[in-house]
Amino acid sequence: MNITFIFLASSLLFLIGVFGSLFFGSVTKIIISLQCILTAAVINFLGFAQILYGTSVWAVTFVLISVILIFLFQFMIVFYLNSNTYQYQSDGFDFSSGLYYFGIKDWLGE
Amino acid sequence: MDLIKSINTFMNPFGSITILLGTILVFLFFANSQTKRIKIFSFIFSMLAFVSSFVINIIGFLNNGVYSDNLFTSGLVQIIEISYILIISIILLIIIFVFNGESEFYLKLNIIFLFSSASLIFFTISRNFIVFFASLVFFLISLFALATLMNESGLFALKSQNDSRKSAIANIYNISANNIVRFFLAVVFSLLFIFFAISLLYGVFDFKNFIQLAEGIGTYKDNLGFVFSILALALYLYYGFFPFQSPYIRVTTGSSGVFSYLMWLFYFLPGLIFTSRFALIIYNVKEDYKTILVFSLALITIVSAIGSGLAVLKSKNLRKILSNLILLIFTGNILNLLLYIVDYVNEDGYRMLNYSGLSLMIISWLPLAVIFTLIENNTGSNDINGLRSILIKNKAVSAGFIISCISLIGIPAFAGFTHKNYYMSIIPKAFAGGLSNLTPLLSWAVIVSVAIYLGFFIAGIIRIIISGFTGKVDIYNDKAIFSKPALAFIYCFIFLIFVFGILYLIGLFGINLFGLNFSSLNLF
Repeated sequence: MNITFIFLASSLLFLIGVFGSLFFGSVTKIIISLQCILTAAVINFLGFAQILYGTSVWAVTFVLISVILIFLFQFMIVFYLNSNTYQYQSDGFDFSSGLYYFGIKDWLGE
Repeated sequence: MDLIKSINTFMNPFGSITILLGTILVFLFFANSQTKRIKIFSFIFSMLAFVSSFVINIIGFLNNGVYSDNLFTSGLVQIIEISYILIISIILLIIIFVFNGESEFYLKLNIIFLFSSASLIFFTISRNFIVFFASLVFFLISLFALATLMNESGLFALKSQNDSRKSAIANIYNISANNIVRFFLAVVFSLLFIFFAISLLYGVFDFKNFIQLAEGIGTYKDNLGFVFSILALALYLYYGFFPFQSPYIRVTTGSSGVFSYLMWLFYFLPGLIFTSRFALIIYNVKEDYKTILVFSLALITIVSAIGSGLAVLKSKNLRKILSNLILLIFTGNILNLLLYIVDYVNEDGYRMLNYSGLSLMIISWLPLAVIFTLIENNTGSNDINGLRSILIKNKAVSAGFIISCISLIGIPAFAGFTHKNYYMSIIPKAFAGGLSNLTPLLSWAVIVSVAIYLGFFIAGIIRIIISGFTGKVDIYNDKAIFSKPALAFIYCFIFLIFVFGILYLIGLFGINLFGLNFSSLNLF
């Protein structure tokens, strides 16, 4: 296992995550894509810590705290969505246009 | 005596945070109370907590000076930034109490708001990446909690409605909930960019904090280009500049009015603090990457200014106009960074420019936003065409509207003049050889960025003034209700616009008044 392989693998995961977050309209798919970015960063941290520095206390602490907090944030978002979607809306878990909407209506319209 | 000494040492920088967290601890004992007296008590208590935090923040620094350890650092810059955070927190606390004081969630809102302010102060004094990232996530989580609590009123309205009415309310409520979810997913997206960039930083060298990064950037500059591109992208996404503004615009136009104020005044502060940290680091490699830095920053400024400026010019939605004006004000921070990179301003000047943007938002933009909210409450719609029919009903409100607009344009003797004066002076100075350290192409990039930024900002405000005078007059809407606290709020800020505007002019001309020299007063 060398450092180039770790960097390429994490970069690939990062790109998949970015593409998925921007392309998909479903909240579930967006969250899975966000997990890909998170995993890419975790692979970087642990890989670099193991190969380059030998000791990994700081990296592991950072990874633990950050991952717990980001998971908490995502859990809160999903919990809010699940607990409050009212029966009249059937497509509550899908955004019509992905995470960002590049239409002119949102920009210049009402 | 030793105890007093140890408390005195602790006051900087943790005194402010301790007071806010202590207040939360007190409120936890009656968080579910619905009594009106308790709500009023909690408002007054929180206000006192913020004021005492403000005082302790300054006194602690005066007594103990600069503080630094492995996790935190606190100097004059952090003290000023914390002061701004606390002033904005006090304003937001008043807004939350005025609009949500009767809500059954008020005490919970108060507790979460105190927590978000404490997180933001932690973020400001953070030095290590662990504290930096954790406090940022805590701040955003508390902002999410505030957004969802403020949106709850829609859900409770459903309980007492018949089926057809329920359906209509549920749809509006669901749209609002979707906007909140979309916005905070976009925030998580930008957060993960920051997380990924920090992981790469750790791989380039054992960078664990900003000071190490500032010192090591000269040595490792060849490997840091990709990392800094990711960080810049993260910041761009966090700010939500054009064309990524849609989640921010939707959440401010489609959710509770009070949450819009939280978004406008509070959400961008970590972005500003992060940009200024980032600026001091990339300044160290400006000579090596001047062309790419100047072109990138100029491009960001131009794209964002045109995107937000056109939205202010074309949109009829009042909240959308206010949201885009805020984006324009914070685009100014990128422009400030550009001016800092090309050595037009030094480090102190760069910070002053950032603070003058924040002051513009607090003193000149805020009364305009309150007037727009009053119009929204009176007409029941967000349409700018309803502006005139409300303005002609109350002369004081229309005077406030014009004064805050003039201040935003940057006419001398009004508070907003300080913000525009720096930018206005760059164009003649550039032609007189003020940017001689740049190639002609880079000089033109800077001049065009400043001109486009100023042009769209001023054109947007002029458009708002024209709409205020030429809109439709609704003859059926005879009664316009302006609550006394809202009017007092507007008068207070109009007074501040004049006071700071005149003080700045006195300082600019070097006039000594009552033995006081105001020439160093460039903050406003």
